Amino acid sequence: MIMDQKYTDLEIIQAFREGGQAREKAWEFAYRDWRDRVIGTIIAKNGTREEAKEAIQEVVMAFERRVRQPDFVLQHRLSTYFITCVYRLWIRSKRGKSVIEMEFEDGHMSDFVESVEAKIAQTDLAKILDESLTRLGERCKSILRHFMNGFSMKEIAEKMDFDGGEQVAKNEKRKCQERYETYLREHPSILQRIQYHRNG
Amino acid sequence: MAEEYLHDTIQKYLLGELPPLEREHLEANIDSDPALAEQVEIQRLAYMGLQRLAAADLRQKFDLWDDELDTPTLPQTPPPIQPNHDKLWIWTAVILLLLLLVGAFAHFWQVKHTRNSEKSEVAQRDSIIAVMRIEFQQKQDSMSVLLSLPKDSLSVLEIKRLQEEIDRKDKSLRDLESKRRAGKPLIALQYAQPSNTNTRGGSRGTDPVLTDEAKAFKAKEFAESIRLLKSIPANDSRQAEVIQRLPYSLFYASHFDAAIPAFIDLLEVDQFKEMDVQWHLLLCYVAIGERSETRYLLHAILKNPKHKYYQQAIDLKKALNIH
Repeated sequence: MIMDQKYTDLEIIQAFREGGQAREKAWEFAYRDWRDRVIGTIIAKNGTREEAKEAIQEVVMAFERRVRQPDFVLQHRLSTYFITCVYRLWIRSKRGKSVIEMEFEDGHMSDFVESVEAKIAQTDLAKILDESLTRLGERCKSILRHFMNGFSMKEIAEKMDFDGGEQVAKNEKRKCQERYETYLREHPSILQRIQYHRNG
Repeated sequence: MAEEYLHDTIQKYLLGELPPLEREHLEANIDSDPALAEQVEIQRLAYMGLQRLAAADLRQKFDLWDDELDTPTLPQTPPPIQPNHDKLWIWTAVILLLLLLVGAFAHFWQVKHTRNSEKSEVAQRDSIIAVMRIEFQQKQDSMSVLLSLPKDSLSVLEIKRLQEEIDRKDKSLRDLESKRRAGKPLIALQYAQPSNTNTRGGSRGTDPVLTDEAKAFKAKEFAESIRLLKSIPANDSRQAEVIQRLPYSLFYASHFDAAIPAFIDLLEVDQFKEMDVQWHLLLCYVAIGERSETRYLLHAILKNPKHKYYQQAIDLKKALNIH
């Protein structure tokens, strides 16, 4: 499928902040447009195609969250920023923390590469988190997935066929979130393991 | 409500959406309140888990887009050239129009050429006839002079020679005049529809001559029909019927020259048969080759679309190639 719509960097950022369908379309454009350049960069540094794709998948959420933040300032092209993020994550995974000496203008993303999130992406904690998510029913997972993908409560109500509309979606989302947090609270070992990884 | 507010505040804090002052205030509370710190950690962990949900969702989409991007796409072959039916029709129409124009031009050229050659032939023939008439008249004058003189053996021979020459020229003159009037009797008879005898009038009364004449006409024995009609005396009361019937008998007997005055007589006594008479007169002129009369009558009939023989006149005009 060839996308008809072209996005500028600012339009992508705006779509990420808007969430929902707009976000998905922006991601589709960005991924199709940037992917080969990212892979090309990694391969040029003796990486593999699979490593590049894995790094892309690990970095996207942090990248998106960073771009959505109000204090994000676009200093270069958004694609360049994305490629840099992926590259830094990939090279860290390849050579270890000690060899990273590159300058990285965006402190937030630099932090991300060293953050607990990055560690989670690379450790067994990812599996632990994924396992914890299975405790949620499919219905709750769908609601929370839509919420995390930036859909509004009205859109979630429509997607989930809630008769009560927006308010019901909001209540359901809160109940699911509380259920998940309760599960995590009742399993302190998970929290402890994350704290352990954070503190090194 | 307070719990809900705290939950939202922590979420904003984790998303980096909390204003700086509130953020500082919350961080101060986290440092001093282990329960709040635990809540923040729980929410942070939950948020990370939920992010993995969203990431998994996006990952699925990436895999889908990867499949699409990595699927070798066949080089786009240009679509087969479809014949443009609109243009085809236009070209066909143009070619047909050109053929029509060429045909029409050729036809008109041929007609014009034929007319011109006919005209030149007629003119040549007329001039020859005129010369021959003069010569014929001169010979007759010479003959008259010779006849008025006392006859001797020499003059007798001269008279004989002149007489032969006059006879020869007379014959040539007649031949030329007959050619001048190149009629089309077959066409005339074809358009006359001889089977239709109703136009002529039937056998009325019990007069045996008229009855026999009607039978003869019906049997296409036109010579017998004419003989019977002419056998009726001029002052006989049956002459009214003769005037009605004789023109048709003469016509179908191919006596077109004689039929013409007969039809004119009929027209004078019976205006109700004007259309029939007009048509048969026209055919007589066609048969004997009187072009000017033919054109005049054709024009007269074609002026009236309600004329009984209007369609036949159109066909006849085409058959005679008259424009």
